[in-house]
Amino acid sequence: MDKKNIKKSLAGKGVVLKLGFVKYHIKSKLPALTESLSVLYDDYHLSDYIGNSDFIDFHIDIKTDGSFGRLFTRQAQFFLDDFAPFNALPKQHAPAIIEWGMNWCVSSQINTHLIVHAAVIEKNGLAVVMPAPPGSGKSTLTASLIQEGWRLLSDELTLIRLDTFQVTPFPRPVSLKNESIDVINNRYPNVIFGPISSDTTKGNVCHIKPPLLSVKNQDVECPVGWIIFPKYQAGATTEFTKFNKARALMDVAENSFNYSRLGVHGFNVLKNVIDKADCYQFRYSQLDEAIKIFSELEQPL
Amino acid sequence: MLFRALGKVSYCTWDDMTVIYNLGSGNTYLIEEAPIAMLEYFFCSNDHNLGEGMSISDLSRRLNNEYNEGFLNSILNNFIKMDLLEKIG
Repeated sequence: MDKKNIKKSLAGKGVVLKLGFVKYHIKSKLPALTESLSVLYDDYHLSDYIGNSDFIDFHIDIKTDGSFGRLFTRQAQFFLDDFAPFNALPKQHAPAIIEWGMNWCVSSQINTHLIVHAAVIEKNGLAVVMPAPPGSGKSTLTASLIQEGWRLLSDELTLIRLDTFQVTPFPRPVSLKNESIDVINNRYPNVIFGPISSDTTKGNVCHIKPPLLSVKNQDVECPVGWIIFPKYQAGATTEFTKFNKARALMDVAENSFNYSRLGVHGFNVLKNVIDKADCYQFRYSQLDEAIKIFSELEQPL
Repeated sequence: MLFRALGKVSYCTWDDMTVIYNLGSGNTYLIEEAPIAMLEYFFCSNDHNLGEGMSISDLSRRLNNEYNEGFLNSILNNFIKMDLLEKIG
């Protein structure tokens, strides 16, 4: 869909966005969302919403405060099936609001997979899962590695199937914050950035478009080869050390959104995945060294 | 003093560290150097009656006296903290 049609559909019946195994129906009259969808999602399958005959996982509406009773539209709010899980935010944050909201839909509603707060990338048929709390440099590292030939499966949510223990891709635009925006922009000038949301609760937030091959292969699942816990630390020397698998299991469970909800199925997934994967702790300050270490990863035995 | 298991577990072990999943409560625990035979006897064996109690000296004999009673006592106390075991008698 071109920008003009996206704008028309968003303001009308809405557009359908297929993202991995999930289908979103998105409506909004906010121009910033037209910009965001047309820049970041033009490689994805976008289509007009055709009504109830189209199976949709999540019906999303980004409403302005004009549409919920105020005269001037200064704020925007995320709605899922007319339920607003978050407070309204300044409307210029709409591109970030929809990205956060789409992640929330999956992390809070999907239970066909174990969902871990982790970036996940793939090369030669094996995935690297990188669980880390915010501020660990996970997204900056991911944004760099996908420019260096790794396939993006997700920068935020690792989805592991309960039956095959394979990772299901969910390749969304990569979220960058504050200094990371300039780091990636300077290092990879061809990367396409979406609109910037300034002064959000997380600072300045901007999303980058994933490489075309990651989008094209969004239905190709793969097993986990490595679990790496990254930690960016300014000025630190690079350290890449083996991590005990039992401790890794506890840390991955800690970073999971639905481990407790899944009961013993969640435990079985982690037991099987971690048993076959190599686990490492990784501290870095230089992206060049990080990229080299990832390029030299040896296949797990 | 007898110890009695309160439920069943699933577990996995790597390099002397064991992750225990309590099938009853859904809680997950990490424990170091827990003898697998002990885990198997208390929490996994199908022929073991859950209500059956065992003393430390019985347990020690069952584990071929490979572990001293002080060590076993500390592991058993960890299992109590995990709501996997209770003291009876």
